[in-house]
Amino acid sequence: MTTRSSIIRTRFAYRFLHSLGKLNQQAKTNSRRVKHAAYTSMASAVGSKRAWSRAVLSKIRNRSLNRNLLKKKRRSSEESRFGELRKLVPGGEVMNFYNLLDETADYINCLTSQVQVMKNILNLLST
Amino acid sequence: MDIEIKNDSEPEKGNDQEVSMHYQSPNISSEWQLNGSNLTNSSMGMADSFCPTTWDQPTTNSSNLGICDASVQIDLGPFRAGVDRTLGPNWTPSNAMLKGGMFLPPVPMMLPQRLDQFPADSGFIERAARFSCFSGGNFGDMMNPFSIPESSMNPYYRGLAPMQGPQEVLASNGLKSPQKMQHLSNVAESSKDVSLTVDRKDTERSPLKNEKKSETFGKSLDEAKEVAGVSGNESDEAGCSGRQEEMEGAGEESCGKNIGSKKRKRGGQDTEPDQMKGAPQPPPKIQKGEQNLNSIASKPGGKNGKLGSQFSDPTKEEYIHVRARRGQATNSHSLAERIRREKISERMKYLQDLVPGCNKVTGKAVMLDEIINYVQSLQRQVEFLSMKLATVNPRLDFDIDSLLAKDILQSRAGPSSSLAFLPDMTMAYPPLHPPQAGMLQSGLPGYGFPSEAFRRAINPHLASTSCGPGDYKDTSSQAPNEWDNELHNVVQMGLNSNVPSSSQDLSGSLPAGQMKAEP
Repeated sequence: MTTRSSIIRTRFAYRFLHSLGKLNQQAKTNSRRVKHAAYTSMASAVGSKRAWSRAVLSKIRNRSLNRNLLKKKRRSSEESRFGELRKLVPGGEVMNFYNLLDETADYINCLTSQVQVMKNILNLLST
Repeated sequence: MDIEIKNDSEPEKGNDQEVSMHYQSPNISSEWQLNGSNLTNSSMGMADSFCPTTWDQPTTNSSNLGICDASVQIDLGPFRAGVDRTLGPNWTPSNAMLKGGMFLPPVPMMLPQRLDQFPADSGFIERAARFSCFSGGNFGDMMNPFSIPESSMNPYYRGLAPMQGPQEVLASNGLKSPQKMQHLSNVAESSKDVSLTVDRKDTERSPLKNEKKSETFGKSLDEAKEVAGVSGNESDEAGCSGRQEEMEGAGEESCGKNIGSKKRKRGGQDTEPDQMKGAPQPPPKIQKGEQNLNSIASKPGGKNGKLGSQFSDPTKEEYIHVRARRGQATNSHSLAERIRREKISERMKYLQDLVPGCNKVTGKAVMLDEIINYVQSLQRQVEFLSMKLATVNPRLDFDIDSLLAKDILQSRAGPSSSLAFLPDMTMAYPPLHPPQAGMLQSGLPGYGFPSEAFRRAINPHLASTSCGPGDYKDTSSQAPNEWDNELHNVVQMGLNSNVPSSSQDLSGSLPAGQMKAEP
């Protein structure tokens, strides 16, 4: 587990820094773009093995197509606890509960490492 | 001959007749007697010397198939006699061959040394397959009454008995060979006696089928003796009752065969608790039973025998895993629900370990709340960090590679040296970093990174601890414009970034350890 998370960390840092560099070259950089870059690089670092990363990647890939559709879906989904969790985990709307828990575990792992790497980057950049 | 007594025991089942179909009356029975005479005599003696005769005689027998069919059906009786009856019309010799195919897999493991003696013709294989059917349930019971050869024949128990089993029964009916006939002698004369022994076979098997595979041979032996000691009438009654139970159990199975088989076994567990000897049941038995059941289930579909056995393999563990305890519901829906709940609770436990502060809470709803909060907080953190990065980003024009190198080193040092050292690192490093980064951009390309730097990078790492800590000490204590030390640092970072996963662990953890050791 530690080796896998460290590999993911490395990949994520690599991709995220690259995309940050690209963002840096553009004229305006807002937080939303950075966040997008963070999520995208995370998902691509994880790869298509996980359902949540697949969901993120596909969402990003046809972002322009289904932006409105996704919003509608979100609004219509339940507000139970599971529904909340479903909303939080990307791609969770279409999973069964067991898979949702599985993906949540992996998603939490990845998020923690993502946060750590981003903190490190921020530390580096801000000092 | 069989019809009469089976009709006695279960008059309502018309399908019994085709059990008797394979018996095909007097001339075959005489042949059986022939076989039996050879078999029983030799079986009392040495096992190996006896087997050629067993093989030769049945092969010459034209009624071999009939014997096999009959004994196969008898064999499966304890597992699901009712299904056998219902499947009855399908039971042709070819079916028996198919069934033999199903049982083939266990056979080679059990009697390899014996199989070597025989020519490897196809007919032999078929025969072996057919005979292997008896390993499922028949031979053990047949063997156990013979209390004497049991101890000596334990190694041969599985291998020999399949062949001995049926013929011995028949032989014992005809010839009253020594030991078994002690119990059967009073009834063995008439043709009825044959069926009596058949019934007795069932009764003997039913208590045995559980312990037989549990490798406690002594116990099974004792029980076998006990059962054998019971008079013929009692055994008949027991056989009838057991079979009727199974008929009832099997009556439900018409819908879903796998589920039904599961259910059935569970039902058997419940209805025959004394046989089960408590909750811990030996897994081999389950697998055996499963194989039998699966083979039966797949037979009407006309599937291949091997296919059936392979098909049974992946489902085995599931069956074992799912077993219901006493008092639990056994219908398929509640079983599936139980599996699902178990899986979910297992996941929840894993999540509980993952989410900090989730260990104390109890209850699924609270735990879910905690998980949701944690995920939300993480996402918010990412958002916050990206916001900060967006504000920070334009200020610096940074080199990605150098940043990446440092960043990876740090992020890797974080987890490897645990949280306590992370502040240490960040305290120690930031003053050093800006000049490093500046030097990197100019310095790295100029210094011939791949060749020289790699060598230098590798050296401190592989020669390791002696020189590494010194460098770190230097960098941390002295001014940052010393080229060598700087380069060491840089190159270590560069190495970390360039070499992928394998060396990362080593090189990432080493500097952390050095850092930890030195200051």
